[in-house]
Amino acid sequence: MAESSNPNLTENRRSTSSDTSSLINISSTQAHSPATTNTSFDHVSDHPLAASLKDASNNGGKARLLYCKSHVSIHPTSFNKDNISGYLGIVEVDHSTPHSLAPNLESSVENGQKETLITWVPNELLDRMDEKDRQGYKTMEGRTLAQNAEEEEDGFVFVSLPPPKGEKYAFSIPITSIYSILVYPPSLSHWYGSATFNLMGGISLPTLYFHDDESPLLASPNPPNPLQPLPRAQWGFPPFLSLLESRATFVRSRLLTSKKNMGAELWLVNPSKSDREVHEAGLEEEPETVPIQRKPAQSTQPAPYPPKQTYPNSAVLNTATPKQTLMTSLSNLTNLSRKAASQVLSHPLAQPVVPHLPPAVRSLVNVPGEWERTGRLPPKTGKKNNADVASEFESARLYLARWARVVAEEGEKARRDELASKARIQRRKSATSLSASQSGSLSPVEDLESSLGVFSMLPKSYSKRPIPNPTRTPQHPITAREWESLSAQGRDELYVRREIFKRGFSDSSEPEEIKARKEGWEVLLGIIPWQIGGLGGGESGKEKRNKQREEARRAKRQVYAGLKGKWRKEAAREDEVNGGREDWREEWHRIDVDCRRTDRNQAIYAVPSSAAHKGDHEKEGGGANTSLRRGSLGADSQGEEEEGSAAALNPHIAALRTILMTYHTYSPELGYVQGMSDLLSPIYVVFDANEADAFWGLVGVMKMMESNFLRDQSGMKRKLSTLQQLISVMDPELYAHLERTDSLNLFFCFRWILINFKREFKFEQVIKLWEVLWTNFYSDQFVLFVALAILQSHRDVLIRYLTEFDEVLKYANDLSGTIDLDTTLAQAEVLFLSFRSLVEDLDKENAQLDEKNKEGLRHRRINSDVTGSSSSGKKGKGKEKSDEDAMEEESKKKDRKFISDDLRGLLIGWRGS
Amino acid sequence: MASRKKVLLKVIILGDSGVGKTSLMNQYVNKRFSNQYKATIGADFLTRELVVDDRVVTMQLWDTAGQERFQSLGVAFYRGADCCVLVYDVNSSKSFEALDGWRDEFLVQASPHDPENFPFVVLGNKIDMEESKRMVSQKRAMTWCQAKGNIPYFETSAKEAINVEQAFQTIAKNALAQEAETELYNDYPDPIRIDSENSQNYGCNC
Repeated sequence: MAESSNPNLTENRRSTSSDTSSLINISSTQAHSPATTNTSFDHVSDHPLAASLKDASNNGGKARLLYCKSHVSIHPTSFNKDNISGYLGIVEVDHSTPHSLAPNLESSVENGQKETLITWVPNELLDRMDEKDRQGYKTMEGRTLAQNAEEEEDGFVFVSLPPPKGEKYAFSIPITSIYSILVYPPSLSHWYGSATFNLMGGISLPTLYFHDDESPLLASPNPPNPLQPLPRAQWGFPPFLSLLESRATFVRSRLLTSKKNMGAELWLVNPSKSDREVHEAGLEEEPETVPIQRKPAQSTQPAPYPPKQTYPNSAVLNTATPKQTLMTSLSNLTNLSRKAASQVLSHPLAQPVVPHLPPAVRSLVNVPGEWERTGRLPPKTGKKNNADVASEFESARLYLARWARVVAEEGEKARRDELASKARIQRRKSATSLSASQSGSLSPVEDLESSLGVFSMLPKSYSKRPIPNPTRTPQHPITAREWESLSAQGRDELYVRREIFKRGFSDSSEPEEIKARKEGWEVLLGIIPWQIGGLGGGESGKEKRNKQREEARRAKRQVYAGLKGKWRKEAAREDEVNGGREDWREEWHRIDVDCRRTDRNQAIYAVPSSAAHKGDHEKEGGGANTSLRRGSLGADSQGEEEEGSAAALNPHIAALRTILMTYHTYSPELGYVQGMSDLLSPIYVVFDANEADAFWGLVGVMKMMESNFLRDQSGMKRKLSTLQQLISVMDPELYAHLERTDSLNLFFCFRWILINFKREFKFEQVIKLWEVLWTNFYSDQFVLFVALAILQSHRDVLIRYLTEFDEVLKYANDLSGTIDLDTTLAQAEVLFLSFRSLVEDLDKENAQLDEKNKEGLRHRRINSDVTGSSSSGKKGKGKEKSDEDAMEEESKKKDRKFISDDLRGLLIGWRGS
Repeated sequence: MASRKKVLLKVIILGDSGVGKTSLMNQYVNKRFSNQYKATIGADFLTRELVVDDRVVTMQLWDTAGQERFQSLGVAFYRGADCCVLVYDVNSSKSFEALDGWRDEFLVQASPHDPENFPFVVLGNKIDMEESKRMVSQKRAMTWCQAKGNIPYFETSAKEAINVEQAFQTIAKNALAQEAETELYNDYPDPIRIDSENSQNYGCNC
């Protein structure tokens, strides 16, 4: 084993307090790991401290409750369901006779007769306590709420102390036994503020999380104005602390500063002199910007110098000027950590974010505009070194970025809904006058026009022409009947592709509809060419057509069976001779590993497979069931052996494996590359789990996408480079921003492009997207316009908030599952049309320029001829002049915008087979 | 002293596809194991804060695709790495034998200032599987690690959360030490930057 990671700091924490390394072992108090918190609190009883605990609890059983707060939880695991909610309380026990405590404890107790205890009681325990106690806690919480608990002299509340032993997690400890309290105020990385009590002997109590949002404490009589940021200090811990401050000395360690330690605050309780010196010396940095300082709490010891920083009292904060409040919020923002981003963004709540956030966090997101105006966003100048990448602003930026996006989307949706309802009313009006004007497959376009809102974001300078309209009408997919009629009417393939581009196929689970999509895909993927069997020809034509198409299908399946049989036979032979082909075995392993984790959330690929394999399928394809029973790579014996325990083998996964292995031998140059299983999986589903058909589907897709998978990645590089150029033409501002953020390589689009957004949309959506892309109707690389559309709809967020390469990457990755397909496709189409107009305009302009130049040249030539003949001695000057001409021409050329060949290539779409 | 600045430790996780890179990273950061992970395409990262010695540091863990083919894209991610984690599956000899290649590849692509002393950590993952499935013995792995300059070695299970915490604590520690080193270097102009900047914008190269 390598060196053990964590020297045991927990021992002798107190005794060698001048040694900084032993100050506090934060790692043990982070309590994120179940190991530290899962234990019941029994172990305290093994501790010398337990003596005092028992003392306290034995003292008559009743104690005066000074403070209590509900919804303070312990999180034994990282799952919300395991959280244990309870009451945090401060109680005071009256000791009639002074008794000795553990000798090393310092003594606010010895002077008075009263001992202050901190208690935490889980709800479940409180329920078991007697009614009076329960009432006591509730009453006190109400008073705490009113924030005048201490003034109400006449109404002491007495409660029983929770037993220190035998109850899970419940505790009751004298304040004197606390060495320090590690506090994390609520922030983006800590949704709930937390406090961990570290005891003298090195034990840390389970971390308490303040679920303030669930607690009545923060409910104010006036509904909070969502636009008014809540002061951060208004969470559960500060009031708790301020109450305790009259009973013990608290010193905030300057070793932990919120800037550096995720907002962590370490409060020493009754610190020893040496501890004080160490912790107050602090670090070599400017003091923190806590805007409001409160008078230090009274303590028997001299006031520390420099004045210690304490929590701003929430009461003070409430009366603070808006500016001060803002300052507080701003300083919070600077405290946010990177972890927050991933946590917040990966959190399921991140989708409909804001309404679900605890108020403290919500307050943070309410000030994005302010934040920017105050110029706190660090200007990006030049390169930063690695350490600076961890700017404290980052997570906040990412978070705000996501938030801004959600708000924009909500607004957009609302706007669209409104327009749609308006359109409906209008249609209803016109419907009376205009009856049944529908012709064939053409469907009304109004619906989509209402969703044009996003396009207001498009930069207006693409072209002098008006922004084109999208033509897609996905709400009217091609039905099985319509699909049939396309052949019957003898439509040409371009028409068919346009129809598919515009409408796509239906998601209906009716067998005919499923079949229509499957046939459509056969055409798009080049398995059954559109003309096969002829078009038109009425009923007899249809019969003939179907027959010939079925024959073509059968032939393909036979070829597949041959391909598959070949490698299997060879593999079996090799196996016998020399233990198998090493290269195949490796490939097989790679394929196996990936297939087992492809779309496992789809019922068909779920493990173990209970989903019925559609048995009525032709066996020519090999049948997914039987796929790997024979054969040596065989896969079954050896392959299973090796990977078998990872997951039981679902027959459909086995089929994917066989298809990919066959593809590997079919196209050995390319081989299997990660991402192919992602491409295959929906095809296999659309082809109704027919192995052979799916194989040819894969072949068809790979014909279109092969370049993505080349060994040297040149295809991907070229595509990303083309996208880069496209951005520079279509959105120079975004381009400049990506350049500033070191993101111009567009790696964050890599996954998008490599597998046609397979990971960005839900399975069903992917199918809809792909049939649109594969029409190649406008462009063979329409996928780049889809990428551009997504970038465009996020451009404001990108430009405004994201300033580093890794932020952009994270943001892009986290878009997965949040992108609206139809809006995106509509926008992609508009972008394509705009781009095409732009190129046309440019070409026209350039042609005109050329024309002018030619004319100009002719003029000049005539002039110079004239001057040349009049004064033959000025030849030199004439030459000078033509130099000028050349320069002039050169500069004119520079003014012109040129469209690279890569970009021009984007205008090439399907041209017939 | 510069070392008191907030620290970001950049850690690259490499290894054959399917050895459990994503799972390890998620187990460490999110404390959970899912059998729903897909093959990683492109790259992604997670971050976690932790305390090393007495410092709170942020560890940024980069997860990349396991197929070699995609490694040519790694440069952008490798740059500025403070530690490289090499993962293999103890139930697959091939994944172990590939470690050499991963290590070399990393050193070439990341070109750290002091390749000899650049911190690596090796994780043998999936020890939760049956003993009979095991293909690489602990001894064999440790011998390799020793030969490569005493690379720390951990046997882990991302599924059962065995040794994950400990391994990453060590990774952080070694990365932090490396970070301190790099900071010294960063006082001098970095000649590599010009190249790497060019290589970022492919433009005309293709």
